[in-house]
Amino acid sequence: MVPAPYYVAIVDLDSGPTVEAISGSQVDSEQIEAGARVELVLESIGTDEEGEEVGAYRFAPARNGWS
Amino acid sequence: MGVGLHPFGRWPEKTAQELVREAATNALDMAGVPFRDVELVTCGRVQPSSGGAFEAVSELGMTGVPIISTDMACASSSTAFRQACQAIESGVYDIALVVGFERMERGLVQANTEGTYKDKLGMGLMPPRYALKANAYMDKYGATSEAFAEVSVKSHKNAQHNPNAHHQKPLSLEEVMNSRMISDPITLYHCCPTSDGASAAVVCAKDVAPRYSSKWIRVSGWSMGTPKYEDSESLETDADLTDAVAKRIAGEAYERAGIGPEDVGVTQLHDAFTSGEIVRIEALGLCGEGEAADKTMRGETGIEGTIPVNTDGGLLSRGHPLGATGVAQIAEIYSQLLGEAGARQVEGPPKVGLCHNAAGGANAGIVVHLFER
Repeated sequence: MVPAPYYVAIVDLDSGPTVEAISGSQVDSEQIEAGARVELVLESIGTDEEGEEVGAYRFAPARNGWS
Repeated sequence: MGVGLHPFGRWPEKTAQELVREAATNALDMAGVPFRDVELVTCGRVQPSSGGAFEAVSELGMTGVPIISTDMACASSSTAFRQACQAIESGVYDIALVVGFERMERGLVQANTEGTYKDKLGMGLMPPRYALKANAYMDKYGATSEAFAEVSVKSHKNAQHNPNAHHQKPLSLEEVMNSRMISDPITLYHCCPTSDGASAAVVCAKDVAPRYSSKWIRVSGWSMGTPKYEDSESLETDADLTDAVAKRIAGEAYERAGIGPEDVGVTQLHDAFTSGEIVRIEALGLCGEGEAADKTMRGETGIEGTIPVNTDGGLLSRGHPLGATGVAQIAEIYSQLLGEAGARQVEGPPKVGLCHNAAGGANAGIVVHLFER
């Protein structure tokens, strides 16, 4: 499991669907607010039983206003 | 016709049979119904460590009756209650005993996400889901975290008058606000405890009830169900921020009963975490959207308030032995409508009571019952 603390958000994608996601590991609480634009980040969350790296989708505040 | 509880709390030295025996005996004695007259037993329980339903009710007697066990997570015994009611409504049986029980491990209860990506990402835990409800509510209506903390203060205040409650000590707003952070703004005392306990109720056909007792309340409305995709824009995330499902299910129950939320005099609702109470007060129609936080802060959800909610302490203080919670809610409504709730009694006594019991996790069920005396 991802080490705490982490942030959980409901993200409305520009294309329509909604996803529940956790924040990237570099995101801190001062960057989080309801309604903020975010972008996708892909990060490793550890390794599986066979030692293979496991990646996950996470969110981070959008850079340059895009998401 | 009768209700009974084994006090909720930590009972590591007791077996499930002992918990159930005390709760069921209390309910049968109150109803004046000997166990040999019971024709059906329905049972709500969740965790395998609790033991089987057959074994749990074995000490009541071996009379050959059907025993049906139901697992619907936190809404198990309210579902078992519904099964008993429907069996009686069918005309096959006249008297049923409903029991709920649980013996729980300490620590966080996880929604049923084991092995899924949600589990691996830490999104299968209940506190973040309720924290999302709280944060969305605060963002939408400008409420403060104090309102959610006040739910816990009120809950513990009510529970000091409930000898069956897990936590019977009042807490101040500061104690709730300053307790250990779990998932902002949910601190430790915003969370219900995991508890051991049992609850029981005797359900009887209306024309048979007078043979045993003159003290009974009537099931006047009910509904149960699971989410529809179109219930809420946020439903696909499981978070159901506004409890749109509860709103729909409660509406069906009101329609069956031919009454409205304005008729409800006392409510027991699923407050596993404080934000659940504020959001669900609104979903059940007990006040307008965006009003519940303010009403909570003004004491209107207290025993002497205009919309008394969780008069026995609710899940937050009475405790939440998963399988026992639904019938414990019904037991409190029974006491309230008959004017037998002692120091917790709502003035009147009220004529209509509502129970809302929710199961957690994706596609999870809601059970709503309306009772009248």
